[in-house]
Amino acid sequence: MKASSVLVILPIHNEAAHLERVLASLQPVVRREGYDLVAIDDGSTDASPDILRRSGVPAIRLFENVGYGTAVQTGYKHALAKGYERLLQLDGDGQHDPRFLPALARQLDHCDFVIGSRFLPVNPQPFAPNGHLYDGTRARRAGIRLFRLLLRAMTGQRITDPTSGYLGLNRSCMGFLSNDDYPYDFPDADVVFSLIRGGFRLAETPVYMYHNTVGGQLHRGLTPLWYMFKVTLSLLIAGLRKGKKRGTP
Amino acid sequence: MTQAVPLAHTLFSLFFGAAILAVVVELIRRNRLQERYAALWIVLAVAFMTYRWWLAPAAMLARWGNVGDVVTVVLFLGIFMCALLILQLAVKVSEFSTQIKNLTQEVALLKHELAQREEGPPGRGDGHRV
Repeated sequence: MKASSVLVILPIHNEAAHLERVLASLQPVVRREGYDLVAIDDGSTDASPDILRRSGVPAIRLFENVGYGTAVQTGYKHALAKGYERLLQLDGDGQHDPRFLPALARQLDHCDFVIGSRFLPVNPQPFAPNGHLYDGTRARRAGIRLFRLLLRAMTGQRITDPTSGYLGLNRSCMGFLSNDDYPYDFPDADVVFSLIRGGFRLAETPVYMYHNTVGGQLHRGLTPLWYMFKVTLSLLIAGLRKGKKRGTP
Repeated sequence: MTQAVPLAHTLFSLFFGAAILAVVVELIRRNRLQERYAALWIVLAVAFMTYRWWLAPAAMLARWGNVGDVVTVVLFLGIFMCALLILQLAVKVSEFSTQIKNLTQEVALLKHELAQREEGPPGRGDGHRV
Protein backbone atom coordinates (compact mmCIF):
# COMPACT_ATOMS: atom_id res chain seq x y z
CA MET A 1 0.00 0.00 0.00
CA LYS A 2 1.36 3.41 -0.88
CA ALA A 3 1.90 5.64 2.12
CA SER A 4 -0.04 8.64 0.89
CA SER A 5 -3.21 6.63 1.21
CA VAL A 6 -2.89 7.17 4.97
CA LEU A 7 -4.09 10.38 6.54
CA VAL A 8 -3.25 11.33 10.12
CA ILE A 9 -5.71 13.71 11.77
CA LEU A 10 -4.92 15.75 14.84
CA PRO A 11 -8.04 17.24 16.43
CA ILE A 12 -7.21 20.24 18.60
CA HIS A 13 -9.04 22.81 20.67
CA ASN A 14 -7.02 25.43 22.55
CA GLU A 15 -3.94 23.24 22.76
CA ALA A 16 -1.33 26.02 22.53
CA ALA A 17 0.33 24.75 25.71
CA HIS A 18 1.09 21.34 24.15
CA LEU A 19 0.93 21.83 20.44
CA GLU A 20 4.57 22.63 19.62
CA ARG A 21 5.73 19.61 21.62
CA VAL A 22 3.10 17.39 20.01
CA LEU A 23 4.03 18.50 16.51
CA ALA A 24 7.75 18.09 17.26
CA SER A 25 7.17 14.44 18.09
CA LEU A 26 4.54 13.81 15.44
CA GLN A 27 6.09 15.37 12.35
CA PRO A 28 9.20 13.13 12.19
CA VAL A 29 7.00 10.00 12.34
CA VAL A 30 4.65 11.32 9.68
CA ARG A 31 7.59 12.28 7.42
CA ARG A 32 9.36 8.97 7.91
CA GLU A 33 6.25 6.91 7.17
CA GLY A 34 5.13 9.14 4.30
CA TYR A 35 1.72 9.81 5.80
CA ASP A 36 -0.28 12.95 5.14
CA LEU A 37 -1.19 15.06 8.13
CA VAL A 38 -3.97 17.51 8.78
CA ALA A 39 -4.98 19.23 12.02
CA ILE A 40 -8.66 19.79 12.73
CA ASP A 41 -8.94 22.99 14.72
CA ASP A 42 -12.19 22.94 16.65
CA GLY A 43 -12.61 26.72 16.94
CA SER A 44 -9.51 27.40 19.05
CA THR A 45 -9.35 30.86 20.56
CA ASP A 46 -5.75 30.66 21.79
CA ALA A 47 -2.49 30.64 19.84
CA SER A 48 -3.07 27.16 18.36
CA PRO A 49 -3.92 28.41 14.83
CA ASP A 50 -0.70 30.52 14.79
CA ILE A 51 1.38 27.56 15.94
CA LEU A 52 -0.12 25.41 13.19
CA ARG A 53 0.54 28.12 10.59
CA ARG A 54 4.17 28.50 11.70
CA SER A 55 4.74 24.75 11.64
CA GLY A 56 3.34 24.45 8.12
CA VAL A 57 0.84 21.79 9.14
CA PRO A 58 -2.33 22.15 7.07
CA ALA A 59 -5.41 22.76 9.18
CA ILE A 60 -9.11 22.50 8.67
CA ARG A 61 -10.56 25.19 10.87
CA LEU A 62 -14.08 24.91 12.25
CA PHE A 63 -15.20 28.48 12.88
CA GLU A 64 -17.00 27.54 16.09
CA ASN A 65 -16.18 25.10 18.87
CA VAL A 66 -18.58 22.34 17.87
CA GLY A 67 -17.15 19.46 19.89
CA TYR A 68 -14.47 16.81 19.67
CA GLY A 69 -16.74 14.34 17.88
CA THR A 70 -17.63 16.86 15.20
CA ALA A 71 -13.94 17.71 14.76
CA VAL A 72 -12.86 14.12 14.18
CA GLN A 73 -15.85 13.46 11.95
CA THR A 74 -14.77 16.45 9.83
CA GLY A 75 -11.47 14.60 9.43
CA TYR A 76 -13.32 11.45 8.31
CA LYS A 77 -15.34 13.42 5.77
CA HIS A 78 -12.19 15.09 4.47
CA ALA A 79 -10.38 11.74 4.17
CA LEU A 80 -13.36 10.26 2.32
CA ALA A 81 -13.54 13.21 -0.07
CA LYS A 82 -9.80 12.99 -0.79
CA GLY A 83 -9.79 9.25 -1.33
CA TYR A 84 -7.64 8.15 1.60
CA GLU A 85 -7.83 4.45 2.36
CA ARG A 86 -6.80 4.67 6.01
CA LEU A 87 -7.04 7.24 8.72
CA LEU A 88 -5.12 7.46 11.98
CA GLN A 89 -6.16 9.83 14.73
CA LEU A 90 -4.46 11.01 17.86
CA ASP A 91 -5.29 13.79 20.28
CA GLY A 92 -3.62 17.17 20.22
CA ASP A 93 -2.95 17.27 23.96
CA GLY A 94 0.15 15.09 23.85
CA GLN A 95 -1.34 12.08 25.62
CA HIS A 96 -0.82 9.78 22.66
CA ASP A 97 2.69 8.72 21.63
CA PRO A 98 2.89 9.18 17.82
CA ARG A 99 5.61 6.54 17.52
CA PHE A 100 2.83 3.96 17.63
CA LEU A 101 1.15 5.29 14.48
CA PRO A 102 2.85 2.72 12.21
CA ALA A 103 1.71 -0.08 14.55
CA LEU A 104 -1.87 1.12 14.26
CA ALA A 105 -1.57 1.39 10.47
CA ARG A 106 -0.17 -2.16 10.28
CA GLN A 107 -3.05 -3.52 12.37
CA LEU A 108 -5.45 -2.20 9.75
CA ASP A 109 -4.15 -4.94 7.42
CA HIS A 110 -6.14 -7.36 9.58
CA CYS A 111 -9.12 -5.35 10.80
CA ASP A 112 -11.34 -2.36 10.02
CA PHE A 113 -10.89 -0.38 13.21
CA VAL A 114 -8.00 -0.40 15.63
CA ILE A 115 -7.84 1.07 19.12
CA GLY A 116 -4.54 2.05 20.71
CA SER A 117 -4.92 0.58 24.20
CA ARG A 118 -3.06 1.90 27.23
CA PHE A 119 -4.01 -1.24 29.15
CA LEU A 120 -2.28 -3.81 26.93
CA PRO A 121 1.37 -4.42 27.76
CA VAL A 122 3.86 -3.00 25.28
CA ASN A 123 5.97 -6.12 25.11
CA PRO A 124 8.67 -6.10 23.89
CA GLN A 125 9.09 -2.34 24.14
CA PRO A 126 10.14 -0.96 20.76
CA PHE A 127 11.21 2.26 22.45
CA ALA A 128 11.16 3.71 25.94
CA PRO A 129 8.29 5.90 27.07
CA ASN A 130 9.14 9.58 27.08
CA GLY A 131 6.80 10.65 29.85
CA HIS A 132 4.77 9.40 32.78
CA LEU A 133 2.52 6.60 31.60
CA TYR A 134 -1.10 7.26 32.38
CA ASP A 135 -4.02 4.96 32.89
CA GLY A 136 -6.46 7.61 34.11
CA THR A 137 -7.63 8.98 37.42
CA ARG A 138 -9.50 6.66 39.76
CA ALA A 139 -12.84 8.02 38.52
CA ARG A 140 -11.75 7.67 34.92
CA ARG A 141 -10.63 4.07 35.47
CA ALA A 142 -13.97 3.29 37.10
CA GLY A 143 -15.70 4.77 34.06
CA ILE A 144 -13.57 2.74 31.67
CA ARG A 145 -14.34 -0.40 33.67
CA LEU A 146 -18.07 0.36 33.43
CA PHE A 147 -17.91 0.89 29.66
CA ARG A 148 -15.85 -2.27 29.29
CA LEU A 149 -18.49 -4.25 31.21
CA LEU A 150 -21.36 -2.73 29.25
CA LEU A 151 -19.63 -3.42 25.93
CA ARG A 152 -18.89 -6.98 27.01
CA ALA A 153 -22.52 -7.49 28.01
CA MET A 154 -23.89 -5.91 24.85
CA THR A 155 -21.51 -7.38 22.26
CA GLY A 156 -19.65 -10.24 23.91
CA GLN A 157 -16.34 -8.66 22.91
CA ARG A 158 -13.63 -7.65 25.32
CA ILE A 159 -12.35 -4.15 24.58
CA THR A 160 -9.73 -3.04 27.11
CA ASP A 161 -9.68 0.68 26.28
CA PRO A 162 -12.99 1.86 24.83
CA THR A 163 -12.20 5.53 25.60
CA SER A 164 -8.73 5.65 24.08
CA GLY A 165 -9.16 8.19 21.27
CA TYR A 166 -5.94 6.87 19.67
CA LEU A 167 -7.47 5.12 16.68
CA GLY A 168 -7.02 3.81 13.19
CA LEU A 169 -9.80 3.14 10.74
CA ASN A 170 -10.24 2.12 7.16
CA ARG A 171 -12.33 3.80 4.51
CA SER A 172 -15.33 1.62 5.17
CA CYS A 173 -15.40 2.72 8.84
CA MET A 174 -14.95 6.38 7.87
CA GLY A 175 -18.04 6.15 5.69
CA PHE A 176 -19.99 4.35 8.41
CA LEU A 177 -19.14 7.03 10.98
CA SER A 178 -19.80 10.04 8.75
CA ASN A 179 -23.48 10.24 9.57
CA ASP A 180 -25.73 12.27 11.84
CA ASP A 181 -25.77 9.59 14.57
CA TYR A 182 -22.11 10.23 15.31
CA PRO A 183 -21.73 11.95 18.72
CA TYR A 184 -20.80 15.64 18.76
CA ASP A 185 -18.78 15.55 21.93
CA PHE A 186 -17.47 12.22 23.21
CA PRO A 187 -17.30 9.50 20.57
CA ASP A 188 -16.23 6.61 22.78
CA ALA A 189 -17.82 3.34 23.83
CA ASP A 190 -21.03 4.06 21.91
CA VAL A 191 -19.07 4.32 18.64
CA VAL A 192 -17.20 1.11 19.44
CA PHE A 193 -20.56 -0.58 20.04
CA SER A 194 -22.04 0.69 16.75
CA LEU A 195 -19.01 -0.55 14.85
CA ILE A 196 -19.14 -4.00 16.40
CA ARG A 197 -22.86 -4.26 15.74
CA GLY A 198 -22.31 -2.95 12.24
CA GLY A 199 -20.15 -5.99 11.53
CA PHE A 200 -16.75 -4.28 11.54
CA ARG A 201 -13.68 -6.15 12.72
CA LEU A 202 -12.09 -4.44 15.73
CA ALA A 203 -8.63 -4.94 17.16
CA GLU A 204 -6.51 -3.33 19.84
CA THR A 205 -2.82 -2.63 19.84
CA PRO A 206 -0.74 -1.58 22.85
CA VAL A 207 0.37 2.06 23.03
CA TYR A 208 1.91 4.45 25.52
CA MET A 209 -0.44 7.04 26.89
CA TYR A 210 0.93 9.92 28.90
CA HIS A 211 -0.36 12.12 31.66
CA ASN A 212 -1.65 15.45 30.44
CA THR A 213 0.01 17.85 32.89
CA VAL A 214 -1.94 20.93 31.82
CA GLY A 215 -5.30 19.16 32.02
CA GLY A 216 -7.55 18.78 29.05
CA GLN A 217 -11.10 20.03 28.84
CA LEU A 218 -12.41 16.63 29.79
CA HIS A 219 -10.89 16.93 33.25
CA ARG A 220 -12.32 20.31 34.18
CA GLY A 221 -15.23 21.07 36.52
CA LEU A 222 -18.24 18.84 36.20
CA THR A 223 -17.23 17.61 32.73
CA PRO A 224 -16.08 14.16 33.96
CA LEU A 225 -19.51 13.55 35.52
CA TRP A 226 -21.30 14.77 32.43
CA TYR A 227 -18.96 12.63 30.31
CA MET A 228 -19.81 9.50 32.30
CA PHE A 229 -23.53 10.16 32.18
CA LYS A 230 -23.56 11.09 28.49
CA VAL A 231 -21.47 8.18 27.23
CA THR A 232 -23.41 5.65 29.35
CA LEU A 233 -26.70 7.03 28.04
CA SER A 234 -25.41 7.07 24.44
CA LEU A 235 -24.22 3.50 24.78
CA LEU A 236 -27.56 2.30 26.13
CA ILE A 237 -29.49 4.27 23.50
CA ALA A 238 -27.22 2.87 20.79
CA GLY A 239 -28.30 -0.56 22.03
CA LEU A 240 -31.95 0.40 21.47
CA ARG A 241 -31.38 1.85 17.99
CA LYS A 242 -31.94 -0.17 14.89
CA GLY A 243 -28.36 -1.17 14.14
CA LYS A 244 -26.86 -0.17 10.82
CA LYS A 245 -24.68 -2.66 9.01
CA ARG A 246 -21.48 -1.89 7.17
CA GLY A 247 -22.07 -0.56 3.70
CA THR A 248 -25.17 1.31 4.87
CA PRO A 249 -24.81 5.08 4.40
CA MET B 1 -68.68 18.24 41.61
CA THR B 2 -69.43 19.95 38.28
CA GLN B 3 -70.02 23.59 39.00
CA ALA B 4 -71.43 26.36 36.86
CA VAL B 5 -68.59 28.43 35.45
CA PRO B 6 -68.88 32.07 36.53
CA LEU B 7 -69.22 34.48 33.62
CA ALA B 8 -66.12 36.37 34.75
CA HIS B 9 -64.02 33.20 34.45
CA THR B 10 -65.39 32.51 30.99
CA LEU B 11 -64.68 36.07 29.86
CA PHE B 12 -61.21 36.03 31.37
CA SER B 13 -60.24 32.75 29.69
CA LEU B 14 -61.75 33.92 26.41
CA PHE B 15 -59.78 37.16 26.58
CA PHE B 16 -56.55 35.42 27.59
CA GLY B 17 -56.87 32.80 24.83
CA ALA B 18 -57.72 35.45 22.26
CA ALA B 19 -54.67 37.47 23.34
CA ILE B 20 -52.37 34.46 22.90
CA LEU B 21 -53.93 33.74 19.52
CA ALA B 22 -53.55 37.35 18.42
CA VAL B 23 -49.89 37.42 19.44
CA VAL B 24 -49.21 34.12 17.66
CA VAL B 25 -50.96 35.28 14.47
CA GLU B 26 -49.12 38.59 14.56
CA LEU B 27 -45.77 36.82 15.02
CA ILE B 28 -46.54 34.59 12.04
CA ARG B 29 -47.61 37.62 10.00
CA ARG B 30 -44.29 39.36 10.76
CA ASN B 31 -42.34 36.20 9.91
CA ARG B 32 -41.08 36.03 13.50
CA LEU B 33 -42.72 32.63 14.03
CA GLN B 34 -43.12 29.90 11.46
CA GLU B 35 -46.46 28.13 11.13
CA ARG B 36 -44.89 24.74 11.83
CA TYR B 37 -43.82 25.90 15.31
CA ALA B 38 -47.09 27.69 15.99
CA ALA B 39 -49.39 24.67 16.08
CA LEU B 40 -49.05 23.91 19.79
CA TRP B 41 -49.42 27.59 20.70
CA ILE B 42 -52.65 27.79 18.72
CA VAL B 43 -53.92 24.66 20.49
CA LEU B 44 -53.04 26.34 23.80
CA ALA B 45 -54.88 29.53 22.85
CA VAL B 46 -57.96 27.59 21.73
CA ALA B 47 -57.82 25.58 24.96
CA PHE B 48 -57.98 28.82 26.95
CA MET B 49 -60.81 30.19 24.84
CA THR B 50 -62.89 27.03 25.18
CA TYR B 51 -62.15 26.60 28.88
CA ARG B 52 -65.84 26.85 29.74
CA TRP B 53 -66.68 23.79 27.60
CA TRP B 54 -63.94 21.42 28.59
CA LEU B 55 -64.29 22.09 32.30
CA ALA B 56 -67.04 19.47 32.50
CA PRO B 57 -64.88 16.75 30.86
CA ALA B 58 -62.03 17.82 33.19
CA ALA B 59 -64.35 17.37 36.18
CA MET B 60 -65.27 13.94 34.86
CA LEU B 61 -61.58 13.13 34.54
CA ALA B 62 -61.06 14.28 38.14
CA ARG B 63 -63.79 11.93 39.30
CA TRP B 64 -62.34 9.00 37.34
CA GLY B 65 -58.88 9.70 38.62
CA ASN B 66 -60.22 10.22 42.13
CA VAL B 67 -58.40 13.55 42.20
CA GLY B 68 -61.12 15.32 44.10
CA ASP B 69 -60.60 18.78 42.68
CA VAL B 70 -61.06 19.84 39.09
CA VAL B 71 -58.50 22.63 39.55
CA THR B 72 -55.78 20.02 40.05
CA VAL B 73 -56.72 18.39 36.75
CA VAL B 74 -56.68 21.74 34.95
CA LEU B 75 -53.30 22.55 36.48
CA PHE B 76 -51.95 19.15 35.47
CA LEU B 77 -53.18 19.59 31.89
CA GLY B 78 -51.57 23.04 31.81
CA ILE B 79 -48.23 21.66 32.97
CA PHE B 80 -48.54 18.80 30.48
CA MET B 81 -49.13 21.31 27.68
CA CYS B 82 -46.08 23.34 28.74
CA ALA B 83 -43.98 20.17 28.83
CA LEU B 84 -45.14 19.34 25.29
CA LEU B 85 -44.14 22.82 24.11
CA ILE B 86 -40.70 22.52 25.71
CA LEU B 87 -40.21 19.05 24.27
CA GLN B 88 -41.12 20.30 20.81
CA LEU B 89 -38.53 23.07 21.17
CA ALA B 90 -35.88 20.62 22.41
CA VAL B 91 -36.50 18.38 19.39
CA LYS B 92 -36.19 21.37 17.07
CA VAL B 93 -33.01 22.57 18.81
CA SER B 94 -31.53 19.09 18.33
CA GLU B 95 -32.40 19.17 14.63
CA PHE B 96 -30.84 22.60 14.27
CA SER B 97 -27.71 21.46 16.11
CA THR B 98 -27.24 18.68 13.57
CA GLN B 99 -27.80 21.10 10.70
CA ILE B 100 -25.38 23.65 12.18
CA LYS B 101 -22.80 20.91 12.72
CA ASN B 102 -23.07 19.78 9.11
CA LEU B 103 -22.89 23.35 7.84
CA THR B 104 -19.87 24.14 10.03
CA GLN B 105 -18.09 21.05 8.73
CA GLU B 106 -18.98 21.89 5.15
CA VAL B 107 -17.74 25.47 5.48
CA ALA B 108 -14.49 24.31 7.11
CA LEU B 109 -13.86 21.72 4.37
CA LEU B 110 -14.64 24.17 1.58
CA LYS B 111 -12.42 26.88 3.09
CA HIS B 112 -9.63 24.35 3.44
CA GLU B 113 -10.10 23.24 -0.15
CA LEU B 114 -10.00 26.84 -1.33
CA ALA B 115 -6.87 27.61 0.70
CA GLN B 116 -5.14 24.53 -0.70
CA ARG B 117 -6.00 25.52 -4.27
CA GLU B 118 -4.76 29.07 -3.75
CA GLU B 119 -1.55 27.93 -2.08
CA GLY B 120 -0.14 25.43 -4.50
CA PRO B 121 -0.52 22.80 -7.17
CA PRO B 122 -3.33 20.44 -6.29
CA GLY B 123 -2.65 16.79 -5.83
CA ARG B 124 -4.03 13.74 -4.14
CA GLY B 125 -2.08 14.64 -1.03
CA ASP B 126 -3.26 18.22 -1.38
CA GLY B 127 -0.02 19.49 0.08
CA HIS B 128 -0.78 17.74 3.36
CA ARG B 129 2.55 16.03 3.25
CA VAL B 130 4.71 17.53 5.96
